[in-house]
Amino acid sequence: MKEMRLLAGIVLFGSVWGLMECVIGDYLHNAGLFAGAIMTGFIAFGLMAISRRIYGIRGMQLGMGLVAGLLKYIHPVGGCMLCSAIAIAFEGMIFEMIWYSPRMDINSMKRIDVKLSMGIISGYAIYAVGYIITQILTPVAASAPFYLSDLLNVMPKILSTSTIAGLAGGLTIMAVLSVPHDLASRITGAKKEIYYPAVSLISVICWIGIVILS
Amino acid sequence: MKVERFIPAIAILLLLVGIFSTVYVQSLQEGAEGEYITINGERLSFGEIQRYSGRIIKTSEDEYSGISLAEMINKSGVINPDIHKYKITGSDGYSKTVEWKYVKNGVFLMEEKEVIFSDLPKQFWVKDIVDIKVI
Repeated sequence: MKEMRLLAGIVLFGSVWGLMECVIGDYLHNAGLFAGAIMTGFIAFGLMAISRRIYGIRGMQLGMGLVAGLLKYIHPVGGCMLCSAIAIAFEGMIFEMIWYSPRMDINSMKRIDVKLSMGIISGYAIYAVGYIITQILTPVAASAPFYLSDLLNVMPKILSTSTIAGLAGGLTIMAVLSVPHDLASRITGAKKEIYYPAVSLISVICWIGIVILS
Repeated sequence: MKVERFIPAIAILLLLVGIFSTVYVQSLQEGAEGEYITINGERLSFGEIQRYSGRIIKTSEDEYSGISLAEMINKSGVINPDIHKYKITGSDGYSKTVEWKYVKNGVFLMEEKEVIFSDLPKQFWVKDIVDIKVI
């Protein structure tokens, strides 16, 4: 039963993430703002951090990234949909790698400088590595040429825009950790008669939203 | 916990890398300001490019009308353009290398100073282009 709750949580958070990428991400992209960095630092990292705080289970964020990436892929509007979908799918994996160690338990970090630093590191690394991966995999997936020199030329730009994601990550983790821990346990411990219908309803609303926007 | 001692230092290091990279990208952009593009070492002004023939390409999302990228390269005096590759660089250093078969399906949008291709993902669209190098 615990696995079913977790699976429903993956679909829920992945769907919310996917919808936000399609709505807010596209808006920021069209407005000419740093859509990728802002979305990664605030939304993607925020949802992954809060889901880790609530469920406390490793591997969940990898699944969330895959769900959100798939939803972004079926919403062919805005920037490079293939690049975005690949980046989102890998963001979950990068989060898992950063927060893999049991010493990096999001709920037991005490020092404020460590919390803030972990947010900055997460936002920065998730965005930068996701960007690098998409620069390599998008040409491969689209049967287009890839040249290492192109990747090296774009590295200063990647390292520069990642700063925004890093600063956003720092702010986000402070907001996430301000959520009372007992609220998290109340969500995971909710009665199944409430938990499953609520999770299903929110997920379906997200999917409908994405289909309407497409 | 020993690892906790290094975490703030790593975060500061990443931010410093980010700040230095931003300064570098800004300096690239400031140095690239001008009303021309360099193609194959030749400076072409936007006024000159505007006189080249236009074409319309269709992507999966939209139709775009711009200046034929192939014509821009041909007019710069490249001999046997089909045997070369073309490295297109934007003012921020972003660059993409493409083959002639893709160039033939590319257009240059005057207003955005952007190169787009009908048969390549958007990742290959380079904004604010300043240079096209023949490889």
